[in-house]
Amino acid sequence: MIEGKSVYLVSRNISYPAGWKFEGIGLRVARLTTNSFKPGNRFLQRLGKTITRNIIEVTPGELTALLERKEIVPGKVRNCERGFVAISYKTVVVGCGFWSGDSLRSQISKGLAKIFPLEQLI
Amino acid sequence: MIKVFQKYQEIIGDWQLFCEIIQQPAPQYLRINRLKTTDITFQELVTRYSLPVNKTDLFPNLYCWSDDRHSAGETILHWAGYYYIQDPASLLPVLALNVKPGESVLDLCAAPGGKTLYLAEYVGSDGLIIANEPVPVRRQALQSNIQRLAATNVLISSYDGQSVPEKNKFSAILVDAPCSGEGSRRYVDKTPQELSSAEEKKLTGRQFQLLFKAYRLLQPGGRLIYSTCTFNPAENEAIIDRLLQNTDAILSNIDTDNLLNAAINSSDSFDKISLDNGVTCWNNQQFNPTLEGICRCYPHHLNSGGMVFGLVRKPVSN
Repeated sequence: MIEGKSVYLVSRNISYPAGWKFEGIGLRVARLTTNSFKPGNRFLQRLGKTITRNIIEVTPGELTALLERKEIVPGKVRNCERGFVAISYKTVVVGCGFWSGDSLRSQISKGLAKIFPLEQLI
Repeated sequence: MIKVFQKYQEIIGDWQLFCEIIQQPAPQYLRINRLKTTDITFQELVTRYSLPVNKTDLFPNLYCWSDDRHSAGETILHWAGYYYIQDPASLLPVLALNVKPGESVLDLCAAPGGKTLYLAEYVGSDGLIIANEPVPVRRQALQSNIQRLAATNVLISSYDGQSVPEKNKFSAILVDAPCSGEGSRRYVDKTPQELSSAEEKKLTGRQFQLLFKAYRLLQPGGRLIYSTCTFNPAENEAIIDRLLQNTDAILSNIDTDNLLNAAINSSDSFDKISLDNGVTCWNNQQFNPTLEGICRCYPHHLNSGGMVFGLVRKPVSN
């Protein structure tokens, strides 16, 4: 479903209540841009292990740097094309990044870094 | 003893235990998000992330957080929506509503979304939860939790209690009404204040309006749960009593044995726990005797917060 500039994933066979005004439904898949789209962090997390390409597994140090909004050169990059990629930590997808072909920068909400102390990334 | 609770001495079955437990902070519980993961996968992640949690005797999808220095909300797995921090008592009203896969359910006061998202697990991908929340800041928290837990079967609306359109009728409704929150005492480091009679009148008026509206939104033969996290009968039994007096609503007994069977893993623990019944008299006010069928879960029952809830049905011939 497209709502404004976003695309949402909604369960099949849902019958909407008639005449009901709603503020939102489903999981945001992506935000549409002029020529492309940016995948949503929560959608990539939902896809999780089913992502087999354009996913970069990072180390604790690399994740810490990404959350500090630093651009990094990850130790391991396989099957990645330039563009948006999933960032994975200990096999759990934590959100979206942008792989330039040489370096990775975080597209994860700044909120994550505020939520928990980075020293907990053990 | 906390003064505000003294007045409940006569209605709480095990008063001594209640007094002991209510003054202790409650453990933090984690409910696995089965919209995203399975119990087995979650167990693997617990090991991989060295998550400081223990299994409990309570729900099979529940863990207990064991790190005093940090909150269960400060982890990657929480950020990625693998679990929701939730009081076990708050799962009981959802179980008592007994929703079926494919059902459309209205959650009238949905934020922050713990019960909503638990309902979403039960109705599955063919069902729909309509999560209504009129307060913008609370609706934002609801939306954020729906995204974090990746629910694709939850619709958010923002009607206040009175303006919900009545064109659509529902077979199941949850009214988790705003309340004075006495049952959350163990989670907030604040002694609850006694409501003034004017405050209580305003609050109970709102609670009744919500319940009455929800009843009008029920299909004939439908059922609703009215719940609060407060012990005051004026906010619980008295509200449902007013509905019974003014409509053809019927109060159904909740099968607490079935509930506890679902809630408790170990049969040893099950034998020791029983929830309290509803009260039929409060402040010289007599209630409909069927209100004994309400469930009162006190903090000492599940080592949790508190929750009071009743199951109301609309007759088929309405």
